[in-house]
Amino acid sequence: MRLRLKGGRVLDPANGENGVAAGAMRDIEIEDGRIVAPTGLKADAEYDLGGDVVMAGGIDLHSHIAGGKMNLARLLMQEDRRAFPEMPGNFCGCGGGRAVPTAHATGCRYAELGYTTVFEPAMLGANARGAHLEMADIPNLDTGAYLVLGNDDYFQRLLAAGAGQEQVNAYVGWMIEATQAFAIKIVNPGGINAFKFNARKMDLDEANPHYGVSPRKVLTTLIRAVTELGLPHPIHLHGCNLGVPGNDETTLATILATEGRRLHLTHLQFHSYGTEGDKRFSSSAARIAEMVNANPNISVDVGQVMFGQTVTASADYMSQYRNRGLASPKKSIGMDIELDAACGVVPFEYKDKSFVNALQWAIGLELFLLVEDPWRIFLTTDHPNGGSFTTYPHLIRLLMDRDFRNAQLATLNKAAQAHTLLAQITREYTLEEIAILTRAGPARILGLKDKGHLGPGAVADIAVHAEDADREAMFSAARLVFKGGRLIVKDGVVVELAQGTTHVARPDFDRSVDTDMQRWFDEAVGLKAQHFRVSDGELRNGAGPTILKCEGGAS
Amino acid sequence: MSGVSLKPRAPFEARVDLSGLTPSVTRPLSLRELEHLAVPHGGRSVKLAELFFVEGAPDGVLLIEIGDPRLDGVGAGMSEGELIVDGQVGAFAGRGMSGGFLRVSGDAGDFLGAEMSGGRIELAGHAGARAGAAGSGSRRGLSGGVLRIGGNAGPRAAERQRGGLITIGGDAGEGLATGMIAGTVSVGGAIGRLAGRGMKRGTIFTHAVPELPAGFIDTGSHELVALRLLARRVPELKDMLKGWTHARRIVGDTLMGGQGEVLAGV
Repeated sequence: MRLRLKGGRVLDPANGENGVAAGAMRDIEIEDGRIVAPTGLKADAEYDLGGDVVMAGGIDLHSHIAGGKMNLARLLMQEDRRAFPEMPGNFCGCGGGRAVPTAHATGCRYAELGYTTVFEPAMLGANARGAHLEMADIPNLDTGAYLVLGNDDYFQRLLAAGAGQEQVNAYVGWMIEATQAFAIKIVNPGGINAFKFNARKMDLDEANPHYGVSPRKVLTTLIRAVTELGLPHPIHLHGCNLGVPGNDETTLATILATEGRRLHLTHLQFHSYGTEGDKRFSSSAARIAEMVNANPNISVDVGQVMFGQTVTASADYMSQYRNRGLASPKKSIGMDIELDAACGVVPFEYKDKSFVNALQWAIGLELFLLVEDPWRIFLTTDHPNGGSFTTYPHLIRLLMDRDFRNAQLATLNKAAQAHTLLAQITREYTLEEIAILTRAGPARILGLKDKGHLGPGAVADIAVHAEDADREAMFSAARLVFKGGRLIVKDGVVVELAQGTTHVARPDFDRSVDTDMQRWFDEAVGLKAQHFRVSDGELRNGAGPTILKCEGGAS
Repeated sequence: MSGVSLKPRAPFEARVDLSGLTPSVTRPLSLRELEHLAVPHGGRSVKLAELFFVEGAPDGVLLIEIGDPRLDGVGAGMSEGELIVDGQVGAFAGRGMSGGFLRVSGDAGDFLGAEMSGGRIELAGHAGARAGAAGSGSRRGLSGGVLRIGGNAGPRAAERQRGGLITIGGDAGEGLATGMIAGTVSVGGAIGRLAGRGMKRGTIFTHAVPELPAGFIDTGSHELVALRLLARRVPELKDMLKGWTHARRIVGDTLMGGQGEVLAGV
């Protein structure tokens, strides 16, 4: 099967091509789901792009789309599906939602924006099987999941007993393989565990009341484990003190704690709060951005706050417990998840007239605009915690259009306006930089070599957008989207449902840990280790995962 | 006969959603336009005339000559006019009604009169679960109007009721008036377990004191003059309150402030 996309302006930063700036048009050829060098052979189908912008399919490296907490959030927020029902005729006619869309709606809404790959950033080991089944149910998207480690009792015990790095590496490798994960996420390193021993806050160097292990120890041990196992994506860190004014110091200390090793700081906006000013809440975006700029080992995604109703769902119950009184509508869920971590679901409405929410919005944008290297910052709202992913087009316009941004800023809470430097920042993102933030950059930081670009050999995940001065309109509805060479979206409407794949990483590790794991499961977990393990055949309705073999590691 | 009558052509193969078919929608249509009205049938949309023989002249009255438990959303969203069903209806009948009159001679499915805010529903048979309750995604049940159920009501009738009146001629299932915010329910027969759990305000009338959750306090028997006035002013409650000289008053749920009450006639 050969397809030809004729006359597009190709925007492919990974290969240094910018057809928009150069005003150059060229064809793209697809053979059997992959992009190939132009051949001139007769194609089975041709699409005339008429100078539209052609990019690789979007990659979202941090969006909560599956797993236990999302199901709890759906259960809690039936309002969401009531407000945005999926209409009959869209292949499905049931479910829906924006803040916590059902699996079908997730796949369709993402595809309409030109996204083809999305990573679930917080899968708990105990929920892995469910998360994989759910991801298989999401149409049109390739997925993958980051395994949450650091708060589980097995790991805390290892550290408390003074286990060596090799033992930790073996455990991490075993868990990644058993849960079919792609990377390691740490959520509030050790803090969720400490919460269960009645700690209500925990900073980088505080000791767990029971195990005596500090977040710094958790972080540095796992960073080393990931490095030595050769996982492509660095530790994906949701740091200490999320949302607490004054957490800027913790964030800066965390960056220093890496000692030059790679680290990804996720939803950094929630970790960039100072305590200056009469309200004891201020922006530290400039300080943090400066630190990020100076440390090339650090990558970040923003977790931009977008105004409106959403749901916050996190394993970080320490912070969700703090915020549960702010729930709107007034209901929330908090629970332990099989001793692995915890889960907190708190519905929330970000209000533009609220000082705190307006300043959060500004802090996120300041980070976007002050972090200089577009290859190390990624466009996220931490869906659904900062806002639904369906607000991405609006966010892109805020980044690309200074007048629009300042006009929006002028409508916000007056005190918040006085607390931000946003109005003075003149930077406007270029289309190429947006393509880096949403495609090329994530592919590089995730180590996906055949994604995020349009060179020969790349998977034919392609988004075509008609150029429009209103960038929100441009990115709201892709003209054409191809998934693995199949047309799935035409003029902003899903026309076909394609089955994606699930990316997993496979490090080599010391398999002698298996005996110890079996003993632990028999003693403490309540099911056999072999039943905990998710086999390849359980993924994607039997199709199995797409395996990324890790380089390095102990065998 | 005035109005439009609908007679099923054959037994329905799938569930039919009639929630778009209200007198205010059909009134301005010609008979032909009405026949072409799109109606969801299973996963597809079909013309009304494919499912029903449509006769008469559209005005404020609709008559479904043979009811069917697969007809969902009958009279849902009605704001005026009259809808009469001879037989059964499915789920969501009269959901979100704000006015008009829905009369059903048979049984109804779940969510009868859920979230209705006005108008009147009279059901001769039994109702399914959550009659007059809040639908999924809503925190408020029936807030106005009158819902009369001749037979029994299923579990969780009047859940989160916010106002208005529900009368149940027969028995009420488990969890009657759970989380009730305000309004009145009367039950002629027996009441199931956990009635009034979490109710804030509102009144449940009954002939015999039911088993109530722990948060209720029996305040003894009182002569309540107001009940005689109520019986005179609210004709729907006249039969229920007939002959009541005193009432046992049990207040609750004290976990939610305890301003609700269960009144059992003596």
